Amino acid sequence: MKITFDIDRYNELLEKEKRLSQENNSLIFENKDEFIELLSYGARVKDQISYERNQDYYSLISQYIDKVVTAPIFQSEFLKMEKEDAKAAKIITDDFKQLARFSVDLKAVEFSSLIEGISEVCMVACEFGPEEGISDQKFRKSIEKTFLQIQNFLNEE
Amino acid sequence: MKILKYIIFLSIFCGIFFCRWRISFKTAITFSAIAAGLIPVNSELLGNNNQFYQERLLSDQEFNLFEDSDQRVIFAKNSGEAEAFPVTPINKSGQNRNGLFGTGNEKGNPDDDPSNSNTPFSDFKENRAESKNYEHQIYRKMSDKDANSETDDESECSIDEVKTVVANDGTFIHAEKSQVRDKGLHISDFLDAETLDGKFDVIEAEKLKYLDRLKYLRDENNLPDEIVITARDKILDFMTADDTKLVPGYLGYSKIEGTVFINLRLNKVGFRDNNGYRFRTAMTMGDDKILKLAKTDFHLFPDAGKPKN
Repeated sequence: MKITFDIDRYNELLEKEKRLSQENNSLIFENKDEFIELLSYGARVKDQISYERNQDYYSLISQYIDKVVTAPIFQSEFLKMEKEDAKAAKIITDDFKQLARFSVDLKAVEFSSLIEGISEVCMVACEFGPEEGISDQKFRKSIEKTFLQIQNFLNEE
Repeated sequence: MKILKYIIFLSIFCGIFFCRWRISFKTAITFSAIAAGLIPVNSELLGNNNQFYQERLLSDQEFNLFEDSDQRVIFAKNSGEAEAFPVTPINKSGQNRNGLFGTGNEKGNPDDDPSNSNTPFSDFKENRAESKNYEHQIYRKMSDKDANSETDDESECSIDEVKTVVANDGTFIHAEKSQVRDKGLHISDFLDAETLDGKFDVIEAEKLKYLDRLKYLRDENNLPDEIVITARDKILDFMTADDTKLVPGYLGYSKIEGTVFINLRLNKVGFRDNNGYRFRTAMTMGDDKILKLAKTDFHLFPDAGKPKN
């Protein structure tokens, strides 16, 4: 099952945001649902890009689980990969021709929701540290839990 | 120069009496003499061998506006009668304010730092950057030599500690250099590799655990001031860009109120708190992350600071 994009609708939302921006306004304030809809295009593209390199993510997580890499290195590497995917997604959403040809596997959305959990704890760990953020133990437990889910998910494929 | 100082002294002294302030004659003379620069401030009283620091409370200050490139920049100026002269030492007993913030010691040598002896990370616990009651110390720095100098430049202020700009909605953003430094991992989101090359090793910082990383980032030898200042400028460029949207939001579990700055073109997000309009953090976020933020009422890191069971 694949998702394709309604380019006309995307263009309409972009134009709306651009027009509102010129009036010092935004869809954020005018119509939050449409703002979310606008962002969902980029988010879905990123889901697919991340899914296509699921083995890279899996490998990195395995290395952390097996204590091959330390928590700080894992966190920074994981967030770096996500940033790369977001950057690649931006290039596609900025180009209507590419976006029109792009399709997203429903599995990609599922995979993305799994790695989103890891991303969140990585961000908290980087930003706050163990006292206010997340302890090393809790961090490891959280990654281990998600790792099992990812393993199951990839085995089902 | 001395004559000029005596003229200033007399002007201030007369001013005090014309204003009929209820202070003693002796206090008025001392006050006027210090203001005119006739009496050097005794640095020994301030508890530091080579320099002293004066806290500045920006919220009570008068601001001077002037243009700096594309940004409207405002620097704080001491104006309060009460606050202007009694210099607050930062080395008060029982306080370790200068320690790991890297400002108490010019060379940044942690061995000379009292807060590093028995309770190495006491500052972090009590005054972490994201805590609700977090306070950065903002210092005016003068050396002994400067304090006793005969020149007019004796009050050499470190005015670059805080840069204040005006956001799109007309409100201030106070960006402290020390805060940008603490958020050093995000500096690479704002400065390109060429700018950082040979000056700041982000990868080295990334390898470290949080507290070690903070220590690393607070050492000027690892992260030079020049890079911090350039990064702050870039962060403020994003926060004041015409297409940056300002949305009321929160930070952390305790829901620190503030403003979330979102720029969809740049894919950048920042946060400024409402308690003093201080810059807290800024980073790159993809559409997926901004989407999640929008779905959660612009609440950044909602689990951070959650009480541990």
